[in-house]
Amino acid sequence: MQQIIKFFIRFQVGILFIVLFIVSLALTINANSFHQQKYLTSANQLSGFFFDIKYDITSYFNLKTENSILQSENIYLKERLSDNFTFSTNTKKENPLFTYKTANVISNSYRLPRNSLIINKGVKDSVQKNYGVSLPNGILGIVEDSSSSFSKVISILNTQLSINAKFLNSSQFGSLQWDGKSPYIMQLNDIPRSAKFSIGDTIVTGGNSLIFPKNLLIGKVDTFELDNNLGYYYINIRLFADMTNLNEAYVIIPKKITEAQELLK
Amino acid sequence: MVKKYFLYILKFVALVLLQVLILDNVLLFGYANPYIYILFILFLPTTINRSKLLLIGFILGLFVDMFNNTGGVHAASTLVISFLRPFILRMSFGLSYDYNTLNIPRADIKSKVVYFTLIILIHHTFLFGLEYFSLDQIDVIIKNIAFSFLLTEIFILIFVKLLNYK
Repeated sequence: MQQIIKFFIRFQVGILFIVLFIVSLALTINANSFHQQKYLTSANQLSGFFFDIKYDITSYFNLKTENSILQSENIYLKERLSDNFTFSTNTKKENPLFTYKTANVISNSYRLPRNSLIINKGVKDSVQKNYGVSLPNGILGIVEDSSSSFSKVISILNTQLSINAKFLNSSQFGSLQWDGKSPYIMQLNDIPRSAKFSIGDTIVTGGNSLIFPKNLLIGKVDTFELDNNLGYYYINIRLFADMTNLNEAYVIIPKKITEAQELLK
Repeated sequence: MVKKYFLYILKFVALVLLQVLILDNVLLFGYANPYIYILFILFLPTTINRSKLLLIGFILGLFVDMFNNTGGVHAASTLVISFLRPFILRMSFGLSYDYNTLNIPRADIKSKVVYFTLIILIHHTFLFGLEYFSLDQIDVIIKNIAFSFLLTEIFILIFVKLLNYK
């Protein structure tokens, strides 16, 4: 017994180092694996508090760019309205599948291989895990965890995430992924050789998921090359949204998600 | 005595907030990001108890992790530099560390630069290695380490020389 105690006293620094190092490695691995129960709620509250103060101060600097982004979104929406607008005698409104809630990005990251951000809406505002988050000119990510008034969002700039996407003017589907290099460029994979498209074509969300509605803007084709062995295109997509400078966001709240999930079971 | 502790707590909070609220938004050349908060570990008293030093390093990193949502990446790297600090001190300052007469702010600038360089390099190697955690992106990791190292070194020298941080 005495020997053991002596051993611990003699090597206390080394033992403490090893224990703490294992703890930090466990935290790292835990943060990198997906959809695990997080114990970050109190931490989220504290960092959210500071980021909220910072947001209050710094949000004024971007008002000009923010305004022009919102304006161009308005124009886009108005154009679509006049296209589709028909007078109907049926006064009963169709119940939409998704509703939106505005939020602000208070902490952003785009430098890591697996980025995440914090928005200032939480459980109090009925934001929950697995809800999609979009931008005025793009998509932002998926809610991973919510505390009472803040939520942690997995950014689309995450090498492990893949999002269903398609061309605006055809129904060719692919999966949108990120190679971890530039925060402005993402990759659209699984587009077969037979697909017809050209540089500059617009990419939108596919709607094959319960998270994002159909036809949300993502980006446009920047460059592409064909893998002759596999018969698939590698397409680089230039995002419309500047992921390095985010402010306004919309949380997408699905209304009939439980009904659809029942069917999928 | 109480005043000394209070001053350290103040430095701790100020450095962490400076790091997470301002410097984490600096991104030069697509890779470089300064990590100034390790100044806190660099300038702790040289006679500090080693277990205490480990705990302080771990907690400092954990706070930065909490703000960045990076799990324990910063905690692991600050822990490693706190563990290796006595050896690096001996390597860079030599005898004056062994005789307990070392006063880092008053030491000559050449040894100080060696000391900063070694600590920053070890910290950044662990930081980016753990952040990416895969060898297929070794080129990105090395670029990140190199650019961030330069920027951190410049920032730390500015803090020490011009703003007289100690």
